[in-house]
Amino acid sequence: MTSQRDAAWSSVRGFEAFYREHVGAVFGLCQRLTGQREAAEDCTQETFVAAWRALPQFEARSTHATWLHRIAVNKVIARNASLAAKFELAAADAAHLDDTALPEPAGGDATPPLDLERAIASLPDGSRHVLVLVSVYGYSHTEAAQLLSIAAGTCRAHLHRARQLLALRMGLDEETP
Amino acid sequence: MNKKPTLSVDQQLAQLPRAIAPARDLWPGIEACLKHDAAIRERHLRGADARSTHRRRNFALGLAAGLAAIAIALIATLHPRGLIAPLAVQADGGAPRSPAFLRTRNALEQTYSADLQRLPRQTQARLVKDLEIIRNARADIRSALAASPQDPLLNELLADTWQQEMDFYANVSSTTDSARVRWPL
Repeated sequence: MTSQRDAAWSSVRGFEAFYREHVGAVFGLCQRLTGQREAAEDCTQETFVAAWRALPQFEARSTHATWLHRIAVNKVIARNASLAAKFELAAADAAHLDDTALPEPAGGDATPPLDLERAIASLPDGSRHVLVLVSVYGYSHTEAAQLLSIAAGTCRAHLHRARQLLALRMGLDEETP
Repeated sequence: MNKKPTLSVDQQLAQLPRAIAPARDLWPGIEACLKHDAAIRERHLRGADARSTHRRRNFALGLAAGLAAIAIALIATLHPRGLIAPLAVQADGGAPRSPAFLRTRNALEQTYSADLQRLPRQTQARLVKDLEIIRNARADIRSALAASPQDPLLNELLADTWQQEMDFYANVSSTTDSARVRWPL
């Protein structure tokens, strides 16, 4: 069955149907991982182009959705690495993560609380990536750590940090993970 | 009067829809890339066909050279020195001077030269190198013959380099009937 579908997708027209079926899931993941619409659009396009090129190597051990997610995460990570190398964003992000002083809780005098999507987008890259993969898309810590090429312990630390920041920015009480 | 949501962060995260429709259709950009890929692939395939033809010709050449080398090795192993009479090559190691040989060789060499010009530069370079290997081997044998000019095996090997060179010309130039051309000594 899978091979028949793969054969159908090997034509550009057939692949368009595959794209239409999965674009929402891929764009959703990219949107939340990058926190930026344009970056998410770029990563989504790159994901499908990469999937087209890698389609002959696709092994039916995972579903196409899982396979596409993996490619999408790699695209986002590669894009971030490229941007970090260009603009030294990595240093800024690391400084952000190392900052022990949490930002002012949203909902205070000046700042209104953020909605969930905007709060997620405002997180530092590392924390946002882990939160999106684990808390939104249901990956285990081990899977997320593998996808992001980080240690499982780092993954847990990022998630803890992300939850703290989210709670603060949304004006919620801090929750224990 | 901010009213806190009743759901926890985790509950809210779990309720987020996984799919989000992009604001614009991303397919045209993807399709352009796929078609560009397909065009490149087609060009490569066409190039691969041409390369495959040249590769087959080179393979035939290599096979002929390999068979000749095996034949030389077999002769050297199976025939004790002195049992085979020296072939009629020139004492100075030059090409045999029989009119039939010279006619055949000239014809083959001319055809080869004309064919060579029509081949891709890379193939030309490889063929020139192959021919050089045969000629270098002949030079080595000539050096050995200078020390022992009557050595039958060396004379036979030398004669064989002429045969190899003729075969080389014939293999490059022939299209359908690349049969081995036995030149008269």
